[in-house]
Amino acid sequence: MWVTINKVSSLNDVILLPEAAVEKIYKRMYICFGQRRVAANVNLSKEDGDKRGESIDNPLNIKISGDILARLMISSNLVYRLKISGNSIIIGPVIGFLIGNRNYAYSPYHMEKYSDRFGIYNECGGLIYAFSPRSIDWENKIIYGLYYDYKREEWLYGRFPFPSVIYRRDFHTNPETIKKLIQVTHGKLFNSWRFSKYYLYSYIKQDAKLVSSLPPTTLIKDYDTIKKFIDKYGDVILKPVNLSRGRGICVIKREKDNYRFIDYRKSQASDEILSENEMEKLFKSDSFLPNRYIVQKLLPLAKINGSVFDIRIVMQKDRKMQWFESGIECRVAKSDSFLTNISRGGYALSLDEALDKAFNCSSDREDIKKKIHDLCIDTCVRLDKTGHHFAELGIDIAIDENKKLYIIEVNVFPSFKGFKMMNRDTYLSIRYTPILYASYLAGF
Amino acid sequence: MIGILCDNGKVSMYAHLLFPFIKSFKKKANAVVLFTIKGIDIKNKKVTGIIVDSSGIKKSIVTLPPVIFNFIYMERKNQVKTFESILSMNNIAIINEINRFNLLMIMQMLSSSVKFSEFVLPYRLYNANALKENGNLRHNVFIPLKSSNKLQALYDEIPSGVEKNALIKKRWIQIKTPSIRMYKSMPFVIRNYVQKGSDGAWLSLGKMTLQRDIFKNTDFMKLIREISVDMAVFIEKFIPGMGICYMDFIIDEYNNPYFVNFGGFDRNIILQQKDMIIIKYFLKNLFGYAFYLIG
Repeated sequence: MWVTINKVSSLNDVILLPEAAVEKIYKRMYICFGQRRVAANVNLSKEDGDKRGESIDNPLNIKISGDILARLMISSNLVYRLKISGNSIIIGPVIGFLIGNRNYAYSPYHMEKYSDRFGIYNECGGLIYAFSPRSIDWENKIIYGLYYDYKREEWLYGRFPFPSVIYRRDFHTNPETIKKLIQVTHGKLFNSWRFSKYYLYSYIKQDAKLVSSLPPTTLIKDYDTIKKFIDKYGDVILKPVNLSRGRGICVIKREKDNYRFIDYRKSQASDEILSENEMEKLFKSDSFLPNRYIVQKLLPLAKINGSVFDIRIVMQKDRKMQWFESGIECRVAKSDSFLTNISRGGYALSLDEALDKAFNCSSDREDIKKKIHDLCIDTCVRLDKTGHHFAELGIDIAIDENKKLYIIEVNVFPSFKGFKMMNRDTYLSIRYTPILYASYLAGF
Repeated sequence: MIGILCDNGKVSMYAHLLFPFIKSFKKKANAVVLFTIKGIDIKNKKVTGIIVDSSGIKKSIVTLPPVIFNFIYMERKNQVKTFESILSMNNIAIINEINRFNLLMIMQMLSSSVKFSEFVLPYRLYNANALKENGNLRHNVFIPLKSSNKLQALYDEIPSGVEKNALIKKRWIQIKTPSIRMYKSMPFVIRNYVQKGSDGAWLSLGKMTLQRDIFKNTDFMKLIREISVDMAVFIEKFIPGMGICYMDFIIDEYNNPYFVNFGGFDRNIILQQKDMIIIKYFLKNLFGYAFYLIG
């Protein structure tokens, strides 16, 4: 049921529930809000008549004494949902967005970029706030941050109880803090871990079903690793294990006795021919520190108008905790580039358009789409077996000239830029899904 | 030894200003290394700078100190990058990660608290069109959105010498005021410094009026000292990692103070302070807080 909260100043230690809306209550029950729980005397009120509080626009009025509101840290300017479970009255949901460490930048203005997620607020309600790992008062179990006021359509500063669910939106948090937050929320912190590219490769490689969808890959330990890899596969791509969005990438193509070295590490890509000695010197310098890069066979990718492309699939968990495909886009590199990232000059196309343009056929289009879907579901299911809590993944799939599919990357913090430009409805649906999932995890 | 990160060209000046005080502390541990962003060698975790201890001033290369006080504004991208590399090191504490704050953000923060909202006057991000449309700016104070240690407040009307276009281009916070205390046609502003001491708690360091001090030992001065400490505690809940800051207040005709500006380290505390006792107190707290952090 949907409720608004009114403070009763004249009484202590009490909650007044509308008689028509509740079936079984006890004289004394626990009121739960986020991770806070307070015992209170329960009385019934007839004020709301037959109202049931069936929507955000028609909530019931719940009265709670001021002392309990203060202990639970409930703000009375939001609309919540209430449910009764055993001897507990649960008010919520209380959802936290874990953002980064730049506290000085987190203003209401900065938070506006999150506001488009609240188009779905009328389905979840409750307290949704953003916080930095640096503004947690562990001793008093209080978090300082900004919450979204649905009626005023703005972000406001406040202090809050620990949330029921945390949606992790940043990956620079100290792992110890994450561990503590996982404990506090009883595992309801999702996107709990960001794996490196090499971990992904090593982990998925163990899966008999998926191994054939991985391009040959190895971790660069020294110059010999890369030399042997080039000797075996010819053209290769080098990727930093911990960076995303096309940052730090280099391509090496063997050209007779020399090597063409295309370096995307700076904003302006460089392209030069190196002798074997020069290449050895380059890899023995600091540029490619051991264990910081992987090297992969450069796949003979299918092309659209001479430009390579890949497929970005956003996989998210729904309210039944099942993975589903919430968006697919194809990202086409700008001409002469190997980088398909929109942020590096690429552009987006729908999958149908891309397949038609790349293969000039529609006969097996549905078959390819089905294979992509199955590969993504299998990858997500496999990653769930790591024991970490994932609910949103951006999977990059490559398709070669023979229509064979490869998993090239899985991002825990995918960008939705292409969707925003291509299809606003899909973009918004992607933005809403984690909120609905979080609401479900919180029990609503 | 503690570190002090300074602007280019200020290292030597600070070294000579601080030396007499550090010498008077006589403790060997009370030493500082002053350095610039350029002096930081992230890879080897070293800094090249000037060491000031009780024995004198000397150039040296030392290991990155465990506690670094930031005395600079940090605006260039490469500065921020180096700084963030230090921030990511678990065993190094940086005090005052930033010193220039977005005033709108601070106003919004204070307004969210019942306790502090009474010290915040109605405010808004200044809309340049209002100036074009409405020449009457009476009972309004304009403060730059990004605070600076030299408070550039405008009141009532655009003072001669300030181009209207310059005012339009810059971003300001417009604060609607009641009738306020003035000094030489400008709002009388009281700046109060607060700092963390040897027990890690905030304390008031002392006030400095931005104009001549005409109100001494009044009740509102006491209130400003107290409320500044409480405000620092509150703001730090949202923006942790501060060790030194200041707040500016204006006073209405009934002597009620109102918050108008906030900043981190203000070099005037060392450069323009005539009261040597305050500088000594400032340094004592600086060391006290650093040793408290080191444990």
